[in-house]
Amino acid sequence: MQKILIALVAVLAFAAGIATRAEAHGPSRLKTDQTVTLNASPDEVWAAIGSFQTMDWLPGVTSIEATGNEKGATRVRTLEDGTVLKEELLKLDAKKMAISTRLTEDNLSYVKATNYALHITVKDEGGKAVVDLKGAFYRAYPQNDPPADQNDEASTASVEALHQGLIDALVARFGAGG
Amino acid sequence: MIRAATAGVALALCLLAGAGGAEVAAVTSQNAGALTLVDTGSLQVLATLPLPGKPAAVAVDGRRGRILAVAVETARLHVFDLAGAPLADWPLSGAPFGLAIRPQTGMALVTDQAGNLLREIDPVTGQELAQWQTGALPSGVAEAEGVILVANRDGESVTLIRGAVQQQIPVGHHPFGVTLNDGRGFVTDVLSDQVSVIDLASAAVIATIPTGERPYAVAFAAGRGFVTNQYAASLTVFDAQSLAVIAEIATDDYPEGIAATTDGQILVANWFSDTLQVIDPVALQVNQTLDMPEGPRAFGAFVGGP
Repeated sequence: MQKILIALVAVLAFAAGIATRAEAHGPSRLKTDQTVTLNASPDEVWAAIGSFQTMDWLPGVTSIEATGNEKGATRVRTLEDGTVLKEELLKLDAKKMAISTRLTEDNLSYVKATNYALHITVKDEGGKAVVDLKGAFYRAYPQNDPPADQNDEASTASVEALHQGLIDALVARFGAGG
Repeated sequence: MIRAATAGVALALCLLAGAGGAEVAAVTSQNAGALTLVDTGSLQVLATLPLPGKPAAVAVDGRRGRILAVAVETARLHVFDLAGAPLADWPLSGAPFGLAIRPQTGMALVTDQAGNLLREIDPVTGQELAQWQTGALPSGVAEAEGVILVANRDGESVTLIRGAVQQQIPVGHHPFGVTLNDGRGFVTDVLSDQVSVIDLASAAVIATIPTGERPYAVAFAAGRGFVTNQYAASLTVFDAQSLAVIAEIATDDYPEGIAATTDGQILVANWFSDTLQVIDPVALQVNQTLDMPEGPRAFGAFVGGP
């Protein structure tokens, strides 16, 4: 009897769901995770990437004006194509070889995502640096019913492409270690 | 007839065994669209259930044998028993997000971020029983000892409801998670990197506790409070009485939902790392790490047992 009741309740709930067009909530946070093994020691790689004030390892950056190298510092990063990025340092932990930054102003021509944050960590695997790039963000279109080029899939692809560019720059500088 | 009776007794025994089982942690995985039930004693995963619609908030009503979860994208209140059998699945109005269970009645309190409302829903019938106006973008909610507290993220305030009396209390930037403990409310001010402590009797902020970056939620065990710090990947530990910060414990990445078990462990869902970590609140160390489906959030009082 109880099972029949449960089944009945489920059917009713399903019917109710069809009848009522649910007003959906906004988007949920998305993430990406990409890893590369480099032909260099973790210390060598961290020496290059473990700073908020310089980004010499990354081609296409023409200038960086940073307020400091401590958590909470901000910077304006200008790229060769004229893109201006405003960023904040969320975390810089030399012991853990971890640096986290976020865009304080969304820039959809740079990456099709909003509230985008990047977390880079360097780990040791048999003397080689393993660099992990994690993205946490919301899709580019913050409302319901996003256009195809700004939905969850398109935004995830855009972040992954951006991070692949960072990986390519690291491989170009240190060589692939895998 | 005798056979039918025997079968009936066997079914009843099965139901009893299910209802009389262990305490469970019910973890929502938002990205995967799943609900994972963990036996908090053995720390074994009991079941992984599909839960579509990007679920975040969850609450376990151990006494009444129910697990409630809000799917934000589909705007539905899902009801399961403690073994994970789906009992009901109700449509909700507006943009539902946060969830708590009223201790006296088992009714659900759901925040509606579209209407800036708190709605009371009967999880058995799906009927809306009451609603209260809140501040802008109500997020976390909790109730204890006749007091309901709602964190209004964009209103930068807390709504305190006691019977027919309703008060707005200003707090820090982007208050999100709410936990009640011993006559006090603890609200995470996400963009202020602090917890606001509210004395429920006087409806006033009596202290702020500094946390790591992007505090999300609070739980209590062993006379201590534990705050998940999303960006810092850590827990801030403070003394529940003096409110002094005692320690910081490193966790996996983006720790979010946090709750205590009755045997005094702290469980933390790590959204980025896809793990549930078990923390000893006395030794202040991570004892165990369990894998979860992608994007565990477990926002709410996600632990309970009969």
